[in-house]
Amino acid sequence: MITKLQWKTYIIALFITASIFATVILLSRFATDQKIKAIQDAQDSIAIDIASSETQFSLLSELTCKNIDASSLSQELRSMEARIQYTEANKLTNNEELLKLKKYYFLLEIKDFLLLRKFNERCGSTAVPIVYFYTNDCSDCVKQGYVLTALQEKYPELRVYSFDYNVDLSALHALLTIYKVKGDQFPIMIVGEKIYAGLKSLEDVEKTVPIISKLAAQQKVKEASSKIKSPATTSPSTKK
Amino acid sequence: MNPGDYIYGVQTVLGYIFCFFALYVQVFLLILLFRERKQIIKGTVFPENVNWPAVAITIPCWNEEDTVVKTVNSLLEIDYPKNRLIIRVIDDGSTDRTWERVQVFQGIENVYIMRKENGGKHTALNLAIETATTEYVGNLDADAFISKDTLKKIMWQFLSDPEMMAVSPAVVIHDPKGFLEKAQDVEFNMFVLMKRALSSLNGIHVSQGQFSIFRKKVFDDLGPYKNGHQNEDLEISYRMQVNGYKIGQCHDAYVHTMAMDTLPTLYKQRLRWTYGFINNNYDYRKYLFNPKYGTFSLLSVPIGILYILSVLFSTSLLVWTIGKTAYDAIMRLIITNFHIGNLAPSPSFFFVDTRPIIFISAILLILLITVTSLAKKIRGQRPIPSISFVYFLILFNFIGATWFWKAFYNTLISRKEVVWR
Repeated sequence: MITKLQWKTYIIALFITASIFATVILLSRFATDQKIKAIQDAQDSIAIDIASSETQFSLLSELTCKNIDASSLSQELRSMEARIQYTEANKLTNNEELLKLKKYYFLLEIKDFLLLRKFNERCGSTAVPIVYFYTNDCSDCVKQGYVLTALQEKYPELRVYSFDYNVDLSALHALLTIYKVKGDQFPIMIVGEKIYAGLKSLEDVEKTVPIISKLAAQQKVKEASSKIKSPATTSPSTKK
Repeated sequence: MNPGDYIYGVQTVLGYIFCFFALYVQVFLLILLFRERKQIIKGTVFPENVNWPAVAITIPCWNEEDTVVKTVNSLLEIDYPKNRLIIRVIDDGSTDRTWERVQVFQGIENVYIMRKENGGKHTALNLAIETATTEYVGNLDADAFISKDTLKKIMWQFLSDPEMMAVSPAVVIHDPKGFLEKAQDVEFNMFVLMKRALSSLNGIHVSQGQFSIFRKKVFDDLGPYKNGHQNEDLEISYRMQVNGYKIGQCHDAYVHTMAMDTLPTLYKQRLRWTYGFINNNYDYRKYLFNPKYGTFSLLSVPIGILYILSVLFSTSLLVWTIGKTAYDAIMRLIITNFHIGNLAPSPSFFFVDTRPIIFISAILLILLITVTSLAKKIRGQRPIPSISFVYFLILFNFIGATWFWKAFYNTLISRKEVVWR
C-alpha cells in the first residue's frame, strides 16, 4: 500500500521532471526560433542584393560586365537551400512557416535565375543554369539531389535552381507554363531549354546533356594538360 | 502523410515517453537518496553487547569443486558467535568432486554436509528450510564470500525492526578486471544504490540469492521456494511483496561475488535473469502497476520493464539509423559515379541539433554519471567517474539488447528456460 507520505514523493518527482521537461522544450524552442530568424534575415538580405543588381541593370544599360558579379549571390542562395532543407527534414517549424520560407526562397531563386539569364545574354558568362523540379514523396528525387550536388561540386559553372513542384506559388506556375512542364514523371531537370524527366545518374547527365558533356570534355582537357605540365616542373631532369 | 513521416512520428513520441520516465526515475531515486543521506553516510551501527540470534546459512552446490571449500572457510571466519551460526552445505547431486572436497568439514562443529539427488537450486534451499531449527535462514552461492561484519550488520536490521522479514546485502564484484568485469562492477554498485533508495519505501523487488537472510516465518507462512522460471529469489520476493512482507537492504553489508568473465557466461546469466523477470512479471501481472501493492508494484518493477524496453527501443533505432545511413551513402556513391564531395560538416550553429530530446539525453547522461558516482561513494570509493562507466554504458545499453531480445523470443516462441547455470 502506498502511504500519503509516499505519494508526496511521487508527486514531487513528477513536478521536478515536468519542470525539467518544460525548461528543455522552451530552450529548444528558443534555439529553433533563432534559426528560423536567421533564415529570414538572410533571405531579406539576398532580396536586397537581387533588387540592387536588377536596379544596376536597368539604370546603366551600358554598364561594363566587369562591374557586376553574379556569382556571389548564387553562393548565398545555395547555403540558404541547405538550411531550408534541414528545417524541413527536422521539422524545425510548423508547415505554414515552412511554406512561407520556401515560397520566399523560390521567388528569390526565380529572380536570380532571370538575372543570370540577362547577364548571360548581355555579358556572355560561362554560368550554366539548371532548373530542377522535385516533389517530397519521390524517392528518385533524393538521388537526383545527390547527383546535382555532386555535379555542382565537379563543375563550378553550374547553378542549380531547385523547386518543390507542389508549392502553390504563382511565379512558380508561370515558370512551369513557360517550360511546358507536365507533372507526371519526377525528377525534372531543365538545362538549356531542354527538359529531362526521370532519374539521371551523374554518368547519364555527363553523357546526355550537351552543355554538361562540353564542360566535362573541357575539364578533361584541363586535367590532361596539368598532368603533362606538373611532372615536367618537378622532374630532376629539367633542373639540370 | 507518407510512411516515413509516420515512422518518424511514432519514433519521436516513443523517444519522449521513454525519456520522460527515465528522467522521472532518476529524479525519484535522487530525492530518496537525498532524504536518506544521513543514515546512508552513518552506515550500520550496533551496540557491543547484542544477544545475536541463531542463523542457518545454506550453501547449495552443484559442481562447485573449485570454490566450495573457500566459501565455507570464509563463513567460518566471520565475526559472529560460533554457536549461533549453522552452516549447511547441500550437494545437489554434483557430478564432479564437490562431495569429496567438502568431506574436510566432516566433524567440524556447526557445519553439516548433506547430499541429495539433483533437483535444482530451489529444491536444495527448500530441503535446508524444511530441516532448519533456527528462526533465521539464508544462503550463499558457492562462488561468493562475505566480509567479516556482514552477518552482524544484516541481523541488526532484524533486531531493530520486528516487522523486517528479509534483508538483502550489498552484492559487489570482487576485484573487477577488464571490460566485462568493470562494467558489471558499475552495474552492481548501481543496484546497491537503487535498492538502498527503494528500500526506504519498501520497494525492493528482489532479495537476491546471495546471502539474503529471511525470517523462517516467511516460508512457514507463504510456502517454500518455487522454481520461479529459474529465478527462485525473484519469485519469493514478489510473493513477499504482494503479501505485505517487508524486505530491507543493508547497503554496507558486503557480499563479494565473482563477475562473469566471458561474454557467453554473462549472456547466459542475463538471459536467465531477463527470462525470469519477464515470466515472473507475467505470473504476477495482476499485482503490478497497482498502488495497493506499494512502490514494488508501482515503481520498482516498472523501472525494470522500462529499462528493458528502452534498451530494445534505442538499440533498434541505432541499428536502423546505421543501416539507413550506410544505404544512403552507398546509393549516393553509386549514383554519382563515386564522386566524393565535401564531407566536412558545416561549422554553422544552424546545423547543431537543438531538438529537446538532445538536451534531455544530455541531462539523463549527467544524472546517470551522478548516480554511479554516488554509488561509488557509498561503497567507500572515490566518487569520480572512470572508464568503467563507459564500459557499463556499452555493455548494458547496447550489447544487453541481445539477451533481452533472446529472452522475449524464448518467452513468446520457443518457451525454453535456461538452466540455473
